Amino acid sequence: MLRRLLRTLATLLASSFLIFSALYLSPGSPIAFLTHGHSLPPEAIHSIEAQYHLNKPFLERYWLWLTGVLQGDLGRSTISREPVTTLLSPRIGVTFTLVAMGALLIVLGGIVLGILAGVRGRRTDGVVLTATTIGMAIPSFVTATILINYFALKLGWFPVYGAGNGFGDRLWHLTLPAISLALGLVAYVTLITRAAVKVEMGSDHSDAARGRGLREGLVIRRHVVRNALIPVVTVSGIAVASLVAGVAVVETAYEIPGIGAYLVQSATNNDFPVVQAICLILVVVYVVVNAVVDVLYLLLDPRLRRGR
Amino acid sequence: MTPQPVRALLHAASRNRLTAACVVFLALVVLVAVFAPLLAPHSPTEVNLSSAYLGPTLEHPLGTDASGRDILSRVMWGARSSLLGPLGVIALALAFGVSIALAAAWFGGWVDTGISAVIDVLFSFPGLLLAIVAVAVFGVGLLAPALAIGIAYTPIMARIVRSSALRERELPYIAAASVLGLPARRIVWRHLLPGVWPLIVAQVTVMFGYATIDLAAISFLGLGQQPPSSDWGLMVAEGRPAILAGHSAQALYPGIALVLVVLCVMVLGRRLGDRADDWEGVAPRLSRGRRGP
Repeated sequence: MLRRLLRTLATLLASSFLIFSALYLSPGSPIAFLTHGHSLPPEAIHSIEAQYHLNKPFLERYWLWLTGVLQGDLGRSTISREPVTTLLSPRIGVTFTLVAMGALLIVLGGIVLGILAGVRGRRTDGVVLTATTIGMAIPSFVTATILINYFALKLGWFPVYGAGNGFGDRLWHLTLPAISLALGLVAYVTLITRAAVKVEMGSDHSDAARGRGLREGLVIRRHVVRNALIPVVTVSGIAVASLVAGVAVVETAYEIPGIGAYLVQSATNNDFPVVQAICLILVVVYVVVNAVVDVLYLLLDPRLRRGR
Repeated sequence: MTPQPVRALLHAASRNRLTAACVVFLALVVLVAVFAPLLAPHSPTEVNLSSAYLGPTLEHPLGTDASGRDILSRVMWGARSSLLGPLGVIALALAFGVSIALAAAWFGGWVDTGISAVIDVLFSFPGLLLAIVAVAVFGVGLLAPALAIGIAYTPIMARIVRSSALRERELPYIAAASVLGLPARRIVWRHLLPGVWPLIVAQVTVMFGYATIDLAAISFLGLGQQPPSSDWGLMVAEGRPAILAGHSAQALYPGIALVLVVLCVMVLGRRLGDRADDWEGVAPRLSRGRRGP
């Protein structure tokens, strides 16, 4: 437990260092990079220098940046000159809703389909297996293009672009994006669940339960699914964490005003402080979700706890 | 290295029709990519606004796009960058990942501890995010994102190869080679590496699929290949306004090409992974003592 915590901290430190130092890998001086090569009045350059502590040694700069970040100071956009936190706060909620909906799809869809495929006969299994293979091969932006084409334009069931206003409208706007975001990962979780269920279906303890005369439904519920879910929790957690990496693509495809689409815009415009901030947020979420899942795994499986 | 991957592929294909279909399809795509200048019926970049959005005809089997360019020719040319990018990614991940992993497995001790710690920490940086950061620093193009994704894949490769090489290292034939007094470098490259090679091949194949998706996404976002390139991801992005106008062909066909390539690669990857156990005649050493730690 403690080791896991330390490792998570180390990962967070390393990731933040990577994101921080990326600025200094750029060709040319950081000042030229941050000002986009424009010549600014000396006081503006001084303010950038002060903001990035360019007159201090590298590691001290990192330390100052990190402590700033921990106090909620993510710097200022080099384009609009506004604080990054002001720019991000209206956008972060949309992204959060999108990821939450994707997570729901993964947990419900992936696990249910996986159990179905593992428990049912050959035909269901075959269909699910084929569908998951295809699902894993479709990039999210292709899914998005197809869904927009059919469900938004041809059938008119869903809006094409944007994030909507109000809670219900927002969910309705984000349905297709959430499906695009989660599809590949739903397929992945289905595949893993199916394998785990298959193993438990043929295990000795399930056979023993059947031998005691337990109905098959009870065997599946009490013996197969409960045991199979232990590895599935880990994999679903990793899948949910991976959603975070996909928001940039899906938000751009549906023109959703979240931090993912903003990350892409900022990368195109060389707005480096914004890129740093969004990457930092996404990576922190990714790492923390992964860590939580690891702990969850320990709690779920008493054998592992006793082993320590 | 050796033609072993090719042999393994043919061997897997000879046993299963789906695998064979995938091998044939991918071979065709590679041929099209290599000989695109000879095979493509039209120029992929020649604009002719008077023939925009033509339906499928004999002259333009897949129709034309918003600028009157032949979609089939563009998809054929697009195979080049769409395959070359991922190839670069896995070359990088393969070279670095395997070297690091073999060093860790061979030397053990603090070298292994150190390398494993670094792998663990770097493991959690999503490739797509790193690629976007790379674009923000180095500007748009194929090179920076491909390098970034390759770096992001390296720890994944290293982690898998390391655990397999650790197991392989304990097998008697490695000890035998040591007793014979063979130099360490020779044992690692000539004996240990071939032992874990089937797993590496399977892993590389799957990674190629993911790299194809990641790089296509980068070019879809407008951060990779720039117009008038016909990279598939970019073609899908450029075709999106046309969809709103009711012309889906421009976005659809490159999307299909992308999905089919990734699908075939994934099927092959899984097949190679499944067969890593029973590759008799391909990698005889594997048939013994591969199971279990």
